[in-house]
Amino acid sequence: MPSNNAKPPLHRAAFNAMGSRCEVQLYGPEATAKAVAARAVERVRALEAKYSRYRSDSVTSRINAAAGTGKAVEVDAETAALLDYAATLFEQSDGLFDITSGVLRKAWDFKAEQLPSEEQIAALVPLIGWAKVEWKSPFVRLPQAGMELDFGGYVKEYTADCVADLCRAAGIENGMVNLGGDIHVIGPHPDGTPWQVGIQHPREPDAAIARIPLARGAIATSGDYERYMVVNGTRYCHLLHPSTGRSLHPAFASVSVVAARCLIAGSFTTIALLKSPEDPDWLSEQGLPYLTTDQELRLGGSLETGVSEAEHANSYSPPQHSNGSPI
Amino acid sequence: MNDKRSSTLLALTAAALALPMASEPAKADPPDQKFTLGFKQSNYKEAPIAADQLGLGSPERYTIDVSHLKFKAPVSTDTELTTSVIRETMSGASPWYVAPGADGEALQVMSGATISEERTELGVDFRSYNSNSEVTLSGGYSSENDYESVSFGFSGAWRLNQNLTTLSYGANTSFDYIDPSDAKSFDRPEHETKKRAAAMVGLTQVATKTTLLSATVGFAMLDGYLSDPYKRAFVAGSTVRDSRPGQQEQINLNLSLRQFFEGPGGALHADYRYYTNNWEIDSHTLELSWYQNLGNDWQLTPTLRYYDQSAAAFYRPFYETTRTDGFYSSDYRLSDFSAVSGQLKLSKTFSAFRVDLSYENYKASGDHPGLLEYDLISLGLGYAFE
Repeated sequence: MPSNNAKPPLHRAAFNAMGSRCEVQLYGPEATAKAVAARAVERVRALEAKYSRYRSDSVTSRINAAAGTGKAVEVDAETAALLDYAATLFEQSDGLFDITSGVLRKAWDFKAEQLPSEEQIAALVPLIGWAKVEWKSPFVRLPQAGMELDFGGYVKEYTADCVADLCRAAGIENGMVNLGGDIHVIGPHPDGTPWQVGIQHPREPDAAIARIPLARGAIATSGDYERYMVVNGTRYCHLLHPSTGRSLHPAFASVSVVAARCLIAGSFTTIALLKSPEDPDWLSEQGLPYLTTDQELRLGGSLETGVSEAEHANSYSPPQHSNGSPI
Repeated sequence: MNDKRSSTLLALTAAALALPMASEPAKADPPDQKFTLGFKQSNYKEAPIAADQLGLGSPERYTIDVSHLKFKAPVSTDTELTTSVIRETMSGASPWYVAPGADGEALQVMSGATISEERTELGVDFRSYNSNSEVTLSGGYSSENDYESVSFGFSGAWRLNQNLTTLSYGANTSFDYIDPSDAKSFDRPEHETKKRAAAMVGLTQVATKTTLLSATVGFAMLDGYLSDPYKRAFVAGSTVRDSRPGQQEQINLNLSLRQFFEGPGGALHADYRYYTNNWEIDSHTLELSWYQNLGNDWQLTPTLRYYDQSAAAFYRPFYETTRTDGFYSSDYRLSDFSAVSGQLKLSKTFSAFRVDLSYENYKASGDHPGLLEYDLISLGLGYAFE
């Protein structure tokens, strides 16, 4: 009879979803952990399908297809709560975090490495503005043809929370969920030691710039490296200003925030980056543990990191995959 | 700055708490919003009567083929409807009465003709769920050429103490109409009815992360024609109709333990059941199952069951004199006997499909010559989709 004191095995499931490399790591009896991990992957895929811009049967496409037709679209309770959340994001970011600004991707093609023309941007900016969206739960209406909602700015973080909740509800106490760097730690390793979460290096793919010990809760990271292009020596990143349609030049190359929920953490990283050209100190006033990497790759913030600045300046050690790398 | 800081965090946290998973982390067993289709085909075969215990007739007993189709569909986010159809085809001979042999031993006399029958049963369950309670309304109808039954049920559960305690309850009733075939030529009763009403209450407690305990008490009352129209009793040289009291009260008590063992990755299901009725039948059942996960989504489940019951007060294998109360029954199911059964079930789950195969052997032992031995083989298929 195997001893009950034996450390339960670690089950890992790696998969690609929501445009990212994802991973679920769960401790528990093999069959249980495997079944729960399968349900976790299923949940991620279901939310991806529900909010994908690329699927004509998604909630997002249904809302966007009705833009300018005068028709209001009735949404389910989950989508209603996500739309209420979008309204809060808009208010709390002073209009910078706007889920109607996704339409700008039609002008900003980061793969082509070509800047959009004035005309292209001028044509899209009038379609942006959460304030124009008629949202009265459970009905949402986009008044102008061509307007679009895009849940991509926070649905991955929300999904990480959902998956962690699902695992906890199934009895998993030790494990972590990592959706492309949006991480929700269910609980520490069985011996109580925290997970060492690798933070993506903003200039070196597949390298970590710091390691953050996290026993439970969530950490999210955003940066100017996620989608960008360099034209005539200037770096243009995916962070776009909703009223000008122009790429922002954030004060930080990367921002990480720790919070109880990944959705909250991710909201703070995005708002911090969007506000940083005007108000680089905003994040330090929010009372949440955070880590910033500035454009000179200096670390700042209130988080204890597992890598000292002097150490990482010399060698960018890759993340320890067994301990939950960001990607 | 403190005001601004708390306001953003509070505002986002409040909006996040309105999201479904954040506010409802643990639902016990909510409708999963999936359609599931299940099919089970079983073959039940009773062993023939031993030659030295057969008085007259065919030693071959019942063979029953059962097809069971079940379909569950979500109706709204918190309700679901389950419908099922069961179709049985039976053939073989059945025990008729017991006669004394030359040395006074009991010999089973079987029905002469091979019986061939079909039975169809329809069932509907409507389940409604909310975070702390659920209710299910059930209806059923069963029909065969000489028997019809209609049933209604209501059951529910309250989840208390952060879902660690579940209080369950239920009540159901059925109305049966019995109209035996060939009644005139075989001296059988005609146009009989039977009513049944039952209620139960149970408590389930999550004792530890891996232990579940539950206890259930049930009570039932039967009223009407409770005899078997196709059986007779041997009384002082001739046979009379099987005739039992027109009323029965039953009490049953179930205790169960579910214990998961992380080391071997398996679970023990232990159940004890006590049953008593006012015909003086008392029974005890002990059932032990071990659910072993084998990896790759295979599961093997061996089950052992031991059963023991005392005889009904008026039961005799045959009667040498008449009884003043007029009750006669030589049905082996009312005799003093014990039974052992063993089952082995193998199941495999694919992502949306489930297949299981099981085999059971049951053997009863006691004084009655017609006690059962049977084999049951079942193949189950399940499919879930959205």
